[in-house]
Parts: sequence; C-alpha cells; structure tokens
Amino acid sequence: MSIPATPSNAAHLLRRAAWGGSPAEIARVVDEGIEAAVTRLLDATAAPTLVEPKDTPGYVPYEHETLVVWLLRSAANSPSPAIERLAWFWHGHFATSIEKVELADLMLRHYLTLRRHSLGRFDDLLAAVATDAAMNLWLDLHLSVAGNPNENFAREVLELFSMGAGNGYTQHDVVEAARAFTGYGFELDPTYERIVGSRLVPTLHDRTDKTFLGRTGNFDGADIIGIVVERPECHRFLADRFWLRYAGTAPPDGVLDDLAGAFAARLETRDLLGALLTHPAFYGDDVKGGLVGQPVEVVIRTIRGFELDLPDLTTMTLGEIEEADDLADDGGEPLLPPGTLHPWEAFEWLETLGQLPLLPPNVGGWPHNEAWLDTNRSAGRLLAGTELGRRLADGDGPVNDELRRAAAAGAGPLTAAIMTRFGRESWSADLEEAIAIARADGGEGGLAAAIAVAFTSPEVILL
Amino acid sequence: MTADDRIERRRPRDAAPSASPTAGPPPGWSRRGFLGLAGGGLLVGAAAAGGALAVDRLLAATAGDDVAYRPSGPVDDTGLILVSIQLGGGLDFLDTVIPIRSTRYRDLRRSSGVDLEATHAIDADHALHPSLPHLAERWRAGELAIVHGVGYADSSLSHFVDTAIWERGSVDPGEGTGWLGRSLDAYGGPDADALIGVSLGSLSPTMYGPDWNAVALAEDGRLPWTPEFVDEHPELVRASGRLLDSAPTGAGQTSLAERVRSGQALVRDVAETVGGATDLRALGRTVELFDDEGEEELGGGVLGHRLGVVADLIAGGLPTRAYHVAHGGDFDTHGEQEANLPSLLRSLDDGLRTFDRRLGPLRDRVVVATWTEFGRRPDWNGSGTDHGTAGTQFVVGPRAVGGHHGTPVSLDRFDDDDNFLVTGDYRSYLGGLAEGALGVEAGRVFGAGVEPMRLIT
Repeated sequence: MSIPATPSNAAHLLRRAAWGGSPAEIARVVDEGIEAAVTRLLDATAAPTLVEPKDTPGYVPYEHETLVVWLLRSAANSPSPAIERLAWFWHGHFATSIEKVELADLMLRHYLTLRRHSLGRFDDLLAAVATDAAMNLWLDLHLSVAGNPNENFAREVLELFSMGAGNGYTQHDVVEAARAFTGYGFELDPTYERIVGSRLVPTLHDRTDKTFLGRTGNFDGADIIGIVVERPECHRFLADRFWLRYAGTAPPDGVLDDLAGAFAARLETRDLLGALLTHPAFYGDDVKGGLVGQPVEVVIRTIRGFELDLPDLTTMTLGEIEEADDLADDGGEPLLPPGTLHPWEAFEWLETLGQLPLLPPNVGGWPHNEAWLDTNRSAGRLLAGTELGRRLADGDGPVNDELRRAAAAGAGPLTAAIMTRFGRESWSADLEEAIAIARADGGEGGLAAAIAVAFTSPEVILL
Repeated sequence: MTADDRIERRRPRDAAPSASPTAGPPPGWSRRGFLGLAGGGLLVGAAAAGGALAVDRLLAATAGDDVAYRPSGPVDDTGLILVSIQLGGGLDFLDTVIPIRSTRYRDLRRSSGVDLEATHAIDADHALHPSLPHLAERWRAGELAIVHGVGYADSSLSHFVDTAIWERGSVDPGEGTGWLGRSLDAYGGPDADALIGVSLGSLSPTMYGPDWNAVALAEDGRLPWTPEFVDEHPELVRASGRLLDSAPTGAGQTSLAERVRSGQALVRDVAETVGGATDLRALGRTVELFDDEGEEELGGGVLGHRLGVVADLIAGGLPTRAYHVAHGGDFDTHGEQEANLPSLLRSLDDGLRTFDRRLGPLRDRVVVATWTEFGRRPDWNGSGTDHGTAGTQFVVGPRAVGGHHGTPVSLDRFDDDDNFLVTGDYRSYLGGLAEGALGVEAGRVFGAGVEPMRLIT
C-alpha cells in the first residue's frame, strides 16, 4: 500500500527520519512519493566520509566538548541527514559513555564505527561493537578471561543490544556467552602507545565447550553473535527498538511482525528502517503526536532549520577559538563569522536541556518520552528557548532579517516563518495566538519571546 | 578527570535521567495545586521544622521581605521528611556490611581488597566497610537500621527490570505509578501541595503518581522560572500564559501535547515557591557549602552537594515530605571493585555526614533511606562481582529504629544460578518506610498481605 505523499506525511517523515525538512525538501518528498524518498534518504552512497576533529598534539582540553560540537555540526550540515540520525539511534542503542571510557579518540572511533555500519548487516555491526575498544572498556570486556569470565558485556549483548530482557534466554545462557567472550584484549598501534581496537587473544580465551541457546560448541564471541542474530526474538526486539525511537508509541498489532519479517531476510538495517518509514501505521495520527524529541534531536533540528552554522572543528580547536575570543575582547577581530553559533552556546543548550552526546546516563541509553517532560526539563527548555530567541532576534544575517520582516508583517506570517524553520507545515491556533501576544509587545523582545514560546510548544517538543 | 569534572568547570550538571529506558507515568497525569507567595503572611513549614536556629535564620532572612508561604492544601509541618537515596547499579552488600567472623565470607571475598583490620565493628558478627565511619557512629548512636536480604523471587538480574520493580514497588510491568507517588497520594490526598514530593535532577519514577507527578528541580535546587526571570521576560510570560492557562489541570489527560503544556504550567506554578526557598537559602546558608574558591568545604562529592541542597530546601521551608536523590556513582562493580567500591562508599558516608551537619537541629525530622536494585553475586569474577540478588539497605536518622532488621542471607546455600537466596520481601522494607515516615498503611501502597517492617519510630 502506498503512503499518500501529503505535505503532512512528508514533513513527518523528514522530522523523524532526518532533522526536519525545509519547505523545498518537503515539496521534493511530495513530488517523488514517500517510498522513493525513503530509498533516497537511506542511500549510503550519499553519506560523506567525516573528517575527524583537529587534534593538537600535547594539548587536549575539552575532548568531550570537542566531540560534541563536531558531532552536532557534522549531523546538522550533512547531505545525508537520515544516516546521521541513524548513527545517533545506534549511539543510544549501544549507549557507551566517555565518563568511564575517558579516552576521546576511542569514543570518536566508536561513533564512526556505528555510523559506518549503520545501514548494513546487524551481525556486522554487532561484531564491530564487540571488538570496539571503547565498548571493551565500557563493559569490562578486557577484564574477562578464561577461568574468570565477567558477565557485564555478555549480559548487555543479550538484554540491551540484541534480544531484550528475559526474551528467549536464561541466566545460564548469559554465563555461557560470558565464557565465549573471554580473552578479548586490546590491540595497540605499532608504537604501543594507543589502543586501536580489541581482538581475541587465544591464551586468555576459554576454549572449552559452551552450551548457548541450545547449541553446544567451542564458541567464541563471533559465534555467539552468529547464533543470536538468527533468533526471531532478535529481529522482533530490534523492530521494537526502532519503533520506539522513530515512532514513539506502543506499536499497533502486527506492526512489529511486519518490521521483523522485513529485517529477518537479510539482517540489514536498511530493510528494517525502510519498512518502518513506509509502513502505514507510521503515518497514523497517534504516531504523529507520539514522540518527544530528545534534546540532541531538537538542537540539531534547530541548528539546521535556522541555518546556525557552528565552527568547523576539523580546522581549528576549541582552545584556538577561546584564544581568539580573548583577543576579540581586547579589541581584535572576531574569529567567528556573524551567524555562527559559538561552540559553548550549543554545548550549554544541551546541558540546559539535559542531554549530552557520548555521555548517556547508563548502558540503557537515554529515556523515552514522558521522562523529558518533568519540571526540570520543562524549565530547561524555557531557558534554552529564551537563549535561542535572544540570539535569533539580535542576530545579523538573512535568517534573522527574514524573521524580523515576518514579525513586522503580523502574527500569522511570524508563526509561519518560525514553525517552517522547525520543520512544521501546520500548527495550532493556540500557538499562533500566543505568538500574537508576544509580538504585540513589539521590538526584539517580542520576537525573542515568540521564538521561545514556539521552542517550548508541543509542536516543537514533539517530533 | 571524569566527564563530570570537565563539565562542572563551567556549571553543575544535571543528574542522569532515570535508569529505566522506557518507563513513563500513567495516562491521566496532571499537575496539582500549588503554593503561592503571599505578602506578609505566616511562615508555615520551616518555622515549625524543629530547630530554633533555622527558624531564626528564616525570620532574619524574611524580615523586611514579603516572603512567606501560603499553602494551597494541607501542609503537615511536623511530620517526618523521607529522603530516598538511590545507589544505582547494585551494591555489593557482602563487602559493605561484612560478616566479619565468617570464614565463608573471607573465602568469597579473599581478593576484594578490603582491609579487615580497618573495618568498623558494629557487633560481634558484623563490621562496616572501612569507608563507612560516619555510619558506624550512627549505629553506635542507635540511629542506623540495617535491613538485610530483601528482594523478590525470580530476579531477572537486569538493572533496568529490577530498578523498575523497586521504583514501582511492584513486579507488574503494567503498574504505571511509583511506590512513593502512591504513598504521597495516600498521605496527602488529591488536594495536597504540588511540592509534596521533589526529585533532584530528573523526576524519579518512584514519584510517578496515580494522576499527578511530583516536582523535579535542577541540581542546585532551583528552576529557571524565578521571579527575576519573570521580571526580565514580560513578553514571554504573557505569551506563554496563553498556552499554559489553557493547560488541562485535572486527571484524564492522554495526549503527549497536553502533558507538555501541563508540565510547563507546573513549572510556573511552583517556581515562585521554589525561588522563595532558594532565596532564603542563598541569604542564610550558601556560605557554608563553598569556601572562597568555590570549592566544596564539606565532603561527599556529588552526593554531598545534592544532600546539601536538600538540607537547604528543607530549611527553606518547602512543604516536601519526600525527596529523591541519586548517589551519582555507579555501584555496578563488575570490574576493579577493589578500587571502586571504597570510593563509592566513602562518598555515601561523607555525603550523609555533610547532610547531618548541614541539617543541624532539623535532622530530627529527617529519615534517610537507601535503595539499590540488587546485590551482587557471591562469587568473585576475578576483578569484581556480577549481578546478584537480595540487597542490604540502610535507614538513618534519629527516628530510625537502630539495629539489624530482617535476616542476613545464607553464605552457604545459593539458588540455581549460584545467587543468594532472598530472605525478605522488598515491599516490607518500602512499606516500613511509607508507614514510618508518612503514616500510610502499607496495604494502601502495595496491596494486602505486605507486612511492613518497623523501621521508624
């Protein structure tokens, strides 16, 4: 069944599968149809090779901050936003934190690994994760050796990464899988100074037989992954995870079977996500109002939608930007062109909103929906929205001029100008009335308030 | 340097969101009534909070200001205040409350690195970990209840499943409310104040209520919608009022869009009260927490800071009867337990000492209770311990019934997965807190048949 390519459906697809669409991008989807648009969005050949952030030897402050700002810019400016959105999904799925890993270069490699395998075979992705050095540190795999298996990684592979808690495996299977995953040690570069990955060290590996999910053999980690990805529980669990993060609602009857079936044939993520984004249930009214945007998603959508470029950290470091700021304060030339968001602004928005990439709360990843609506998060949105409003009302550039012209023209044009930038093609009468009240006060304060009100409205908070 | 340190260079970071990846409050969630600020009214709450010192401070702080509280509903200003501390990740109770004479213990934990000579003996059979001197003092003062072996049958050994069971006070995944939310609802009824329950950081699912939710404050105990903010942003206040005034207030909300609006309306409703309390705090007490360089003077790290904020909110007169605070460390000691557990316990102990000192005379009204989703495996895994069953919890304060409660687990007989056999119902523990601190019958929170422990007098 073909999905009607209405502007509403097209805008919904772009908000969920990417970082929101401009009117031109929405029109393109309407023109080509939903199915063709999904195929285009999930075309891996469109994804550029990402240039790593600049590293200054001997000077490594702000490692986490650098990666966060680099990630925001890479995602917001990408010609393949759906693939960046998918890499972000996998980051939440394999939720690994720099708090324990500590080494930023390993976190960067971890993220690039997720991105590289994001659309392909799930067993390839899981195998890459199992030999990823950051994951190895995060779940104590390097401490797990023959005779002393450590269950941390094996349990989460089954519970959080592939099958779901209590879904077709027992504690005995966890114990046996942990024995299969013994002996994965770090791989060092030729100078023995940097960890570059992890690999099986035969002398540390338990080479006796294991019985896992009813099969017996001298299994290693790769064998365990091979067995797991064949299981229907795995296909259904991944279908459930994708539905949760892309649709947000309780899945209607039959949907997970449809998605799991599409996935099982080749174990390719592109098949699973493609089936989800072209499923009629994904375009239901409940789904359209059923997902609270995570702060990272909202911030990237805002940066992209309002054309707020960030500094390019592949060519300069945060330290260099700070030094240039100090010189500018002393009367020198400002380093950042007008309209460029200062890295600390973006970083602090995320802090205020309560979510920083590469720093998930735990291996379960970030919470879903209602947890983002408590008073602390609501208040954080108000504060971040106020900062955004002030920045856009004060700024000097074509988008700022467009917003000021719209404000002068009336509440209707102003609401349309703001909400279009947020990827919305329609909005409530309540919101337009609220923006009319803000605008009635006139001046930059009114425009800033209108943007802040929009930023905290259900139309923007809900993806 | 941890990520926390890096971030805190600029400003304190919020707590991690709930451990539960998908839990949410039930449909019908709404906001409650709220406190308003009344010029020259009575000082309710803190003034009756027990300590002359705190009262004097508050009166001094409010002299000349029009700061006082007008509760929207009944406020019990003499009852106990429960402070729930989450030790997330699963605490190894065996190395925490040590069965010091057991050769079996010494065998199971021979590699865990605890210096048994440095432990704090609390009776002939038990000693507390060397990092717990303050708790040992509380024990000697009769102010520490140690609750042994509580859990439930058929633990999944999953952090997320078991954390959610503790949060709900129910093994039923269909239960949408938290045990504290139900307890506070039973205690306060539908007209209770919105601030009756407060989480620091993000809202703990323990506080999801039947048709309303408790309040989550930022790590510094504030909300951005302060009276100053209102003054500075008149357009925003008027414009957002258009959306918030029409936000539904009763039960029966089902759409996320309605919850978005009512969540923000709740911010506006409580912010003045929170602002008033934190202003009192700024006037009277902040000096003690930080020295001239802004470094913490009192110990306990993240937990110490959080408990310091809670102490100030209590002194500031919030009508709150239950606070949720996360320890902030990861007790999931699969690896390097020898190094990690001592520092985790040290920050718990220091944090509790900080809290006690900062509360001063107000400590008579406060009961601290810990919870952790499970204990750890009897067997050592070479560098730490994997997920286990049962758990040991602490209740601390002048009103705690000091001593051992429940039955310590057997170190000789394990279940089919080589885990400890649970000796008590976790709901008896939580029920004991609900009855002892809030006077709410355990059956109203957990259903019939749950026998509450007598933990609080």
